Amino acid sequence: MAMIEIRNLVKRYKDTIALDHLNLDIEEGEIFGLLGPNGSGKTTVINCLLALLKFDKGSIKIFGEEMQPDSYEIKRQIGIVMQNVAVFDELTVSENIDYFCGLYVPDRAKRKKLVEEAIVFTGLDGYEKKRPNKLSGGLLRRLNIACGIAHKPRLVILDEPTVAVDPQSRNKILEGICQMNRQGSTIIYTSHYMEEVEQICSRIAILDKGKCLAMGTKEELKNMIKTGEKVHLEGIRLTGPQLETIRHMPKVFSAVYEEETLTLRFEGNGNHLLGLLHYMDREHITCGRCFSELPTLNDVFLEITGKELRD
Amino acid sequence: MKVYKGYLIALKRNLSTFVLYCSIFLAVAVGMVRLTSGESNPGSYQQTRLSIGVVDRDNSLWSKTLVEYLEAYHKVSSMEDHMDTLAEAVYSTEILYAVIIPEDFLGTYILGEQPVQTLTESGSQWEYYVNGRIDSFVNTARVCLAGTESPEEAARQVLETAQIQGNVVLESSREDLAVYNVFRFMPYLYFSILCFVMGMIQKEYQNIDIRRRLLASSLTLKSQSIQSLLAFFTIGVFCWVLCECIGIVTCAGQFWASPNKWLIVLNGFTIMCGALAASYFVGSLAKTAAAVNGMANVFSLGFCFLGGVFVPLELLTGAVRKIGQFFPTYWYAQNISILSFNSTLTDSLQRKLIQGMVIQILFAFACIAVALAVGKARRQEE
Repeated sequence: MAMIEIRNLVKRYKDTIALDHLNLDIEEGEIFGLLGPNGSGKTTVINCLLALLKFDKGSIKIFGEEMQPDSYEIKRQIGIVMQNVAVFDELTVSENIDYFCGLYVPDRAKRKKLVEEAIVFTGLDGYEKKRPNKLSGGLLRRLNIACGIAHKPRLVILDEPTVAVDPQSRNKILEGICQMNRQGSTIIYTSHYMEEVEQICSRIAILDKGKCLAMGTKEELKNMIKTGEKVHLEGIRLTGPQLETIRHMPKVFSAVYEEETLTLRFEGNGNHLLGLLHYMDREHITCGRCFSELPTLNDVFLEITGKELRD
Repeated sequence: MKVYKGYLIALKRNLSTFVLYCSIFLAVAVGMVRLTSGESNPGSYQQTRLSIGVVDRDNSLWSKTLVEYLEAYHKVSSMEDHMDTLAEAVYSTEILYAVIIPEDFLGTYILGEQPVQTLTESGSQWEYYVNGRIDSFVNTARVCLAGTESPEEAARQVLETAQIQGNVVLESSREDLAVYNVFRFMPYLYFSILCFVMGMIQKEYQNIDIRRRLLASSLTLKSQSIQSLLAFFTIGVFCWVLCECIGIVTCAGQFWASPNKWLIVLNGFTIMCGALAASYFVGSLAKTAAAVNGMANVFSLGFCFLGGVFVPLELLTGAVRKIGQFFPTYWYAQNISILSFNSTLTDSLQRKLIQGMVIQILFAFACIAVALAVGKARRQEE
């Protein structure tokens, strides 16, 4: 049985459908990514999961039990990291972590140990006595995470935790999430940064307009789409017949030639660059720069929805 | 008790604001006490001596006895027998009262029914005061004339009655002004401290993300609400004890001598409840620190100006008084006035006092109800 079962979830805001018959199964021990552009319904799913929002239709089961606003036993095993930094300006770093940890762990001695561990885990050691307004954006985000995970929850929900974070802090946060997963926590990670989701998530659901458009591992998602390898050739001079020949090469899905740059998309799996280079060698065609890309989640999203993920 | 402790830790961070407001208040209060208990205000009772002008047309034993009788109470000067001059003297307040003693004063006025001709500002308090003295003279003279054979003896006896002085003991002396002047300003201290400090703390708790984090936690909503309420009450009581202690220390002797000291403290508690509710309102509505600051100033200064804290109620005009009645500070000011200047509380004063306290508490409930309603509407919007 899945750790989280979401069945036919419908949530409306007046005339807008935020979630449209959403179905999700999240297994214990995985890092599950919810990928979608802004307004796709990611945060609404999270709010419904935590019973912070009433939904119009459907059901949510966590740890095999129906989730209700008063399901405090279930809530005890969940850690939440909000999209915006949700800490008290009046409290120091360690007081903030202790405060939020104290909502789950009443025992003082046990909590003290957990707070110390959370500080070390998020790399906040040395900043314990600082107030949040004295921290940089990256440290603030780490504090936000520390407040959500200090009580060592079984399920951690991270709602876009890396928004407006410098690359160094971002890497540290992503490393931490993987480490938490290795220590046994199940992670739900929402983001509109496909690279992050691709990097850490074992399974991904692509959301758009409240619907789950596709779900699976990143390989499964990439196999779902028609386009495969993408090849760029810059500083290339082609005649009309040469371009036509390339267009009719096997597996070529599309070929765009503009300002001495050729962009080719191939169908299915496999690498096609070598075949292309052989043809160019035969025809004595030269180019300035050449590189090949395998499909990304953005390509998956583009093909499924017809728009860029960051639109 | 994590939510409860959170409030207290946040309060600890804002103690500097507490200290700042209390220090300013203490300085002002000490100044007020010095001002009201100096040597120039001995606090004893002194009979008012008015300037009276007399025109004696009779020049008899009884006219002279009347002049002497009046001299026992007032400052009497002989005036020229000319109506215009008398009117001019009264108009220019050179004298406040003019008595014209006509000829045959004994026969026509003391033994007869004719009233003595006088000239003064009609309806003034000194008109009633001196009229009373002259009536008293005439009545005493009639009694003495009836009781003795010689008119001289009667006149002497009348003058003797003028020497009788009542021993006046002031139960509410000017020293009580210290208590009044210190405790009168307490609402400003409560409103400014609580609205500013608690407003800041409550604003953070009203942050949507923090609220969601709290709601997503395993702490029951009921427990969170009870802990918040308890924290508010604790901080309110702390503020109350601190402020009242400052007041008591500032006018220690006078406070302990006041028969209504505990009611003054209780009145402080009711206004603290009003200020605490106002701070909840401020914290629930304000989204930024600047907004808290602005609203705290509007509440503290506005309520104190319109409620008769800064300006005594007697000096407020009718319209302002009517507006002021909507604020708890008005009822506090009225109560503190009653408690400072009345050693014995009559039934009507007690009723007024209770009414004032109940209105202050009702204001607190109304404030919380409005804050809850606005907060709910805002949450639905979010």
